Order: sequence, then structure tokens, then C-alpha cells
Amino acid sequence: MKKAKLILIGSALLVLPFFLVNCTKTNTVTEPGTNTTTTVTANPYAGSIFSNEGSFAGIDSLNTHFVANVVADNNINGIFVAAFASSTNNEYNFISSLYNFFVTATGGPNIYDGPGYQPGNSLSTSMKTVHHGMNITQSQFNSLAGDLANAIHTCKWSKADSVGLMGAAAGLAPDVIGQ
Amino acid sequence: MVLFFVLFIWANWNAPTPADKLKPKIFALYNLENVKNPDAFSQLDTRLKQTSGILATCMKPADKIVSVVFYPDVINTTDIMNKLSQWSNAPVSIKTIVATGPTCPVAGIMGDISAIKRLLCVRN
Repeated sequence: MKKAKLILIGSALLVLPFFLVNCTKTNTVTEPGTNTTTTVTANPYAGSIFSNEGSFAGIDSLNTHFVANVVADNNINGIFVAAFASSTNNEYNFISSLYNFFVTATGGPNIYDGPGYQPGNSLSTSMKTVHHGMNITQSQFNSLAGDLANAIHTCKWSKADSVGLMGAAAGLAPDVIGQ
Repeated sequence: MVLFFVLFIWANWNAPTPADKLKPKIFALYNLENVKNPDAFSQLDTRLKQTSGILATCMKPADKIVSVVFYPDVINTTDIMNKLSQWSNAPVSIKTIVATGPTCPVAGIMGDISAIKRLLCVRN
């Protein structure tokens, strides 16, 4: 009992500093001709696909539909077999990694930390590293791109943003195919 | 005890990523080989999409499969399978995917590490 209390108090003391850290970047603006001061949270992602298509919630929706399409795609689902059915932890991790990938690829925060990631790496380098030895074919890449296009269509993205993301995906093709 | 503290600090060192804050969701693939009526597939898809906890589906009538992404705390794999069987009046099973070559390295041990981190992280 004493031990449990000690763990509880120790944990509380350890956690406290984490809650005291405030990472939100804010600017204070004084309205011209008045003394009113308002605090504005800057949006560093304004104008990006990420921002245009609903930020984190929009990317979450795209990712969910994309995962459904990939799982049902017999041309490529064998590649992702480690994530399938073996454990729900693996499934969470698979979905989270793809989500981080899309947030980064659409111009949102650079949060991709999945396979192939090294601090300071670009998404392109990460993709090259992770696909090394997998011998992904053009046909497999096209299937994946088709699944992404269908997910974008389901989520009713604007034409400009659809073209933007498909273009970004196509730009990664040399880092993925034939590695 | 020391190990617990080390793991605890490790799990809380960085703020959770946006992905860590997502409500967990999982997926399943079902075999619809015994569904003989071609019209049944679109009806099944519509009914699945209307089911609470189901977020996305992908119906492939040509391959006789359907994938489902869902919240595991609302509905589970077996419930979905039973619903599909009931709606189609045919036995439905979970389809196992077989590796066709080198596989994507995501998951495996990483899934278990992430699970430990999620469990110990209190910074949400």
C-alpha cells in the first residue's frame, strides 16, 4: 500500500512539469485607434492543402477512407500484411503512420516519424529508406495512387487540392518504385 | 520500480503527436464469396455505412470482399461479420491476407512499443 502511494506521488511529481509546458505560439495584437488587445493564434499552414481540407480532422477522414481502399485492394494488400489482423496495436500503428504521412505531405506540421524516419530527413529520404529492398513495381504504385484518388473523391476535396496531393504522391514515385 | 519511472518519463517526454490524440480505429476484411445475389453488395455497403462505429468501407463485388474501418470501442469484428451474414443470408468470414513478398515494415514490434507509450502517456 505504501509502495503504491509512493508510485502515485512520484508519478504526479514527474507529470507536473509536462503540464506546465505551453507550446502554443500566439501573437498579441493591439487594434488601431483603440486600447483593445487581442491574442491571435498564428496559422503557419494557411493556404496549404492541409489547411484547405479541414486540417487534422480532414486528413483523418481522408486517411480512414484510404486505409479502407488499401485493405480491399488485392494488388497491394499483401505488402501490408504485418499490419493486418495480427494485432490491434499494429493496426493502430499502421493507421497512425499513414495519418502522420498525410499531414506532412499536405503541407501541415512535419510529424512523420514512421519507418524510414531519421531526424532532419525529408519525406522523400524517409520513403527511399523505408522502401529499400521491397522492389515495389510501377503497377503496385499505380494501385496505391488509385486508392488515394478514390479516397480523395469520397472526401470531396477541391480539384486544386486533389491535383496537389496526387502530384506530391507522384513526386515520391522515384523514392518508392524499384528500390 | 526504476524501470517503471524510466518508461514513464520516456512515454511523457514528448507531447503526444496529433496521431496519438486520434480515437483508436482498426480495420477488417470480410470474404463475401457466399453472397450470390449481385445486387446485395451495394445494399450491404449502404447498411454498413449506416451502422454506428463504422467509419469507412470499400466494397469490391468483383473480388467478393469488403473492408471496414471502425471504432473498436463501438463495434467489433465479430459483430460486423454477424451483421453481414444476417443481411446477406449467407455465411461471411474474415479474410486473411497473405504476404506476396517483402512487406511494409510498419507495425510489428513498433505497434507494441506504441501501445506501451499510449498506456503510460498522461499528456493528452
